[in-house]
Amino acid sequence: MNENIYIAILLSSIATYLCRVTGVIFSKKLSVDSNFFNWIECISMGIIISVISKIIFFPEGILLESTINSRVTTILVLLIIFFISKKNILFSLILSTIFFILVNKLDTNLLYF
Amino acid sequence: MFSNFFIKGFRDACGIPLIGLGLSMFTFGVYLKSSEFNLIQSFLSTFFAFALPGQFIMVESLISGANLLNIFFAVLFTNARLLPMTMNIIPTFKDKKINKISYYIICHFIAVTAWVNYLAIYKKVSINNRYYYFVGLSATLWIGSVLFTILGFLLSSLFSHEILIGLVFFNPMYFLLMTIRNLINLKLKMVFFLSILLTPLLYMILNDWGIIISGLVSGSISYFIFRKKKYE
Repeated sequence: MNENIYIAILLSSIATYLCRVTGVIFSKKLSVDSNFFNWIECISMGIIISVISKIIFFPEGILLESTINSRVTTILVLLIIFFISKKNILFSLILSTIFFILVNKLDTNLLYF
Repeated sequence: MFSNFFIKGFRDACGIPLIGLGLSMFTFGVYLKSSEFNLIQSFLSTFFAFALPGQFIMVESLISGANLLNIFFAVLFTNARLLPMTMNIIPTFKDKKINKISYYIICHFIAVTAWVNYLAIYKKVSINNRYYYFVGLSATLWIGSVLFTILGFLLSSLFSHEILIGLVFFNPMYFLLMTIRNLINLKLKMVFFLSILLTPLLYMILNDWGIIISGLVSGSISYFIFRKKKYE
């Protein structure tokens, strides 16, 4: 297992770097004024939103122990606070994180009740 | 002076971006400890394979007994999003004065947090200074991530499980708000709504491929609809 961990880290590093370096190679002749760049901008934005959406609806790791109700409710609360507070990011994040911890605890307790 | 912009990038990173990413890396460090990694392995993981979703996949695959080839391809597909993100960033600061080899070094720092923060500000920075700004911002986030992973590994017993779950959710919420702040025109707003709707459906059918395809489809539809329209 121990030796495998080092090899796994090496292979993961190569795989991750490969994704980035391919991006550098493909962007060699890419101009910010080109249509292709605009298309890439839209796709990048789409993929990032997909990643966020996936974390909310189908999380992995430790977040699997939270309920879907608590995650979705927290996102709604986050958006409400964000727009009410005139887009104050830090304030919205702190309040929503506290809300998430509380509602997740409550929700989990209700599930086991 | 370029160094001023490097420092500006550093300063911009040392706030909510580093807190958000750091909290996720901290819990990743906790996860590594519970997965029987040692301190050096935890350090190497974030130092060389810096991209959290891929790092999680690596550990989970190892624990579940996947072979090394499977781990390689699982990480490759999970991190495929880095390709268009790199293509979206590098052309914004291309400058003949910059040694081309340096692009192959700094691309290692490209990840979601650096990407969303850089996109929010790069148009306000002159082209000649964007490179230095980006290096200051992204390298700080990378070094911070390594430190937070180690801290998480060392201090794993100090936090309750409920608090850790809450801290992990801080970063996706932060990504969401930063993304919303970057929706400066109708085209990007359409990408946002299409992707939010498509991702759960495609993920249930195609798993991780659903994420890439959802981004590709929603981005392409919006691009072709607004290609010739004035939407700003």
